[in-house]
Amino acid sequence: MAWMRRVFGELLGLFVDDGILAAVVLIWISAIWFLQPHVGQWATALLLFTGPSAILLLSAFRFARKGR
Amino acid sequence: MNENWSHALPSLLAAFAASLVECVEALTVILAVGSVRGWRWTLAGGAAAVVLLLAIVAALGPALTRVPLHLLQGVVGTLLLLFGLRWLRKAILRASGHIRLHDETAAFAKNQAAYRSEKTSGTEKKVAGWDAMAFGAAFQIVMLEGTEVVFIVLAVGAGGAAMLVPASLGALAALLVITALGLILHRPLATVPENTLKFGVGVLLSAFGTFWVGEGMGLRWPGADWALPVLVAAYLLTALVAVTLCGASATGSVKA
Repeated sequence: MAWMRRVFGELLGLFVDDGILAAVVLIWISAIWFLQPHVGQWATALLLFTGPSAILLLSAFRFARKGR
Repeated sequence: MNENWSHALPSLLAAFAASLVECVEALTVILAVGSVRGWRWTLAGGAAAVVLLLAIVAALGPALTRVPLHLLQGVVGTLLLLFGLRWLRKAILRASGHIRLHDETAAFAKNQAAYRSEKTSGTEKKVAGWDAMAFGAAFQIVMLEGTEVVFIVLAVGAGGAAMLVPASLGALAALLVITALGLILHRPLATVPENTLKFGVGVLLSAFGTFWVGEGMGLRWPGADWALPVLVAAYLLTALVAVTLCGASATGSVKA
């Protein structure tokens, strides 16, 4: 059973390292999901890339600055 | 642009490189356990985990085909994006000197010492010639790393058989390469440029994840198939900018 608990923990750890990064990406994708019918294809595509990229940059930079 | 190549090649490369990293990590532990506890039960544990993983894939694979494609792509894309960004973030921080690079030789020595002390401390579990410790350790590491490989293959191949087949072949090729090297060299693969691989894989998986999220939303990507290589280039550029920015703000403290 111990290995199953560890596998579950590892599975969660696959996707979440910086909790804030994961949460903000999820919020961003959900927001685009709702906005998509009201904005064009180009805007949606652009938002899908720029959001996660900016979040990644900020997360890495925040770690680098604070040495968390 | 040929749709098969625009999707198949990145799928194959992403699955191969990601699986290579996971297999190298599993090999290090397998070698450490085998060299201390003996090979019979170590290899048996690893083989049992591979069989269980194949059984899980065989059971889950048909079930996944029943899920509507857009929903599957949306969910898998989101998970893949989180997975890719996590790898990319770690690779950026390693490349910019904020986190120590992974050292397979050190990991091997640490694991070997741990299994050796377990052997001499009298806490080992050996019943009727069956080495539960060696079997369990090998089973656990192959299960852990193998689960990641299975997820990567399924996620990268979420577009259907045209992408699932190259992704599976990429993972299989990585497994064969590392197994062959392990059998020939009998030592950890310390010279594999793990962080460079993780950097590249993080870029590819983030691009795939973004692409699948869009497909899941029903987005018709501008440029159709060209969107994927463009996303790869854009994420690569972002990551390189991040390395430069983080490198410039280096405080001198390096985390393990």
